[in-house]
Amino acid sequence: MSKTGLKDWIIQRLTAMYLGLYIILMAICLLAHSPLHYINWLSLFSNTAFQVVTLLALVALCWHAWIGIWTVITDYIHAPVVRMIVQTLVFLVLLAYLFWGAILILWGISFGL
Amino acid sequence: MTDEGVQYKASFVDFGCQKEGVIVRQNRPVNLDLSKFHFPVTAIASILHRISGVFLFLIIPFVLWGLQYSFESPAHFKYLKAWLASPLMLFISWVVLAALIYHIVAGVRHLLMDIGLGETLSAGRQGAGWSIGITIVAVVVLGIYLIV
Repeated sequence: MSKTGLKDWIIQRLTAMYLGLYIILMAICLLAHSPLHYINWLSLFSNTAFQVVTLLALVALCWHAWIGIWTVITDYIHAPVVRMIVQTLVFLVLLAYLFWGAILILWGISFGL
Repeated sequence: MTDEGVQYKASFVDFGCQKEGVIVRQNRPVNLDLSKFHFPVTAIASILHRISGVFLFLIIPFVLWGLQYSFESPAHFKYLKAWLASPLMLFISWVVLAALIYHIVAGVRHLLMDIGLGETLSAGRQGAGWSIGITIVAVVVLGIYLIV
């Protein structure tokens, strides 16, 4: 997507590493509170620092997924118009996930769903 | 040698610095019988990484939905937890986590190769084998953990 692909290559690696760390963090949190109760779950996501880290993880996920799926689409769909349409749809879907997740994490919990 | 009734068309071979004109058959034969292909372990490792990636992408909305549902109330949380403990959902969770595990393991292999570790042919083959092997072990352990 970027002119040489270098920016995408770097972002794909950086987001991958961040997501890896986030998954480890999440695993530790879940194992520390096993069995999991609603009150622990809610307070975890009410913690501001955790919210920020999770939001970053969400951005990382959407960006990582976009670069990956873009690569797959470019590999298999050659007709320009069809490819454009599919890429646009996937982009919008990922953007939607980003907003959905952000709203869930920030507003849903703070103000009560 | 020219076959009767075969259409030909002008085409170009692009060498990067120059294009060369060639005449090719209109309907060029395609040989894509996948059952006849020889797939090195590195190819299998690579396509599994791609397949697991696309699969995880398709799973994202369900995870987000689950997250939303889990916050709504203590009753919702309890219900979701019980539902996820059902045999079908345990199996589906296992499959999803298996895809995640493989994608991460193969991804780490990608990162190591980016640094320069394992870029030779034999190292590449070993790395591919290890990725698949580690994932299988982890997935089996996970399966046992989920059942218990």
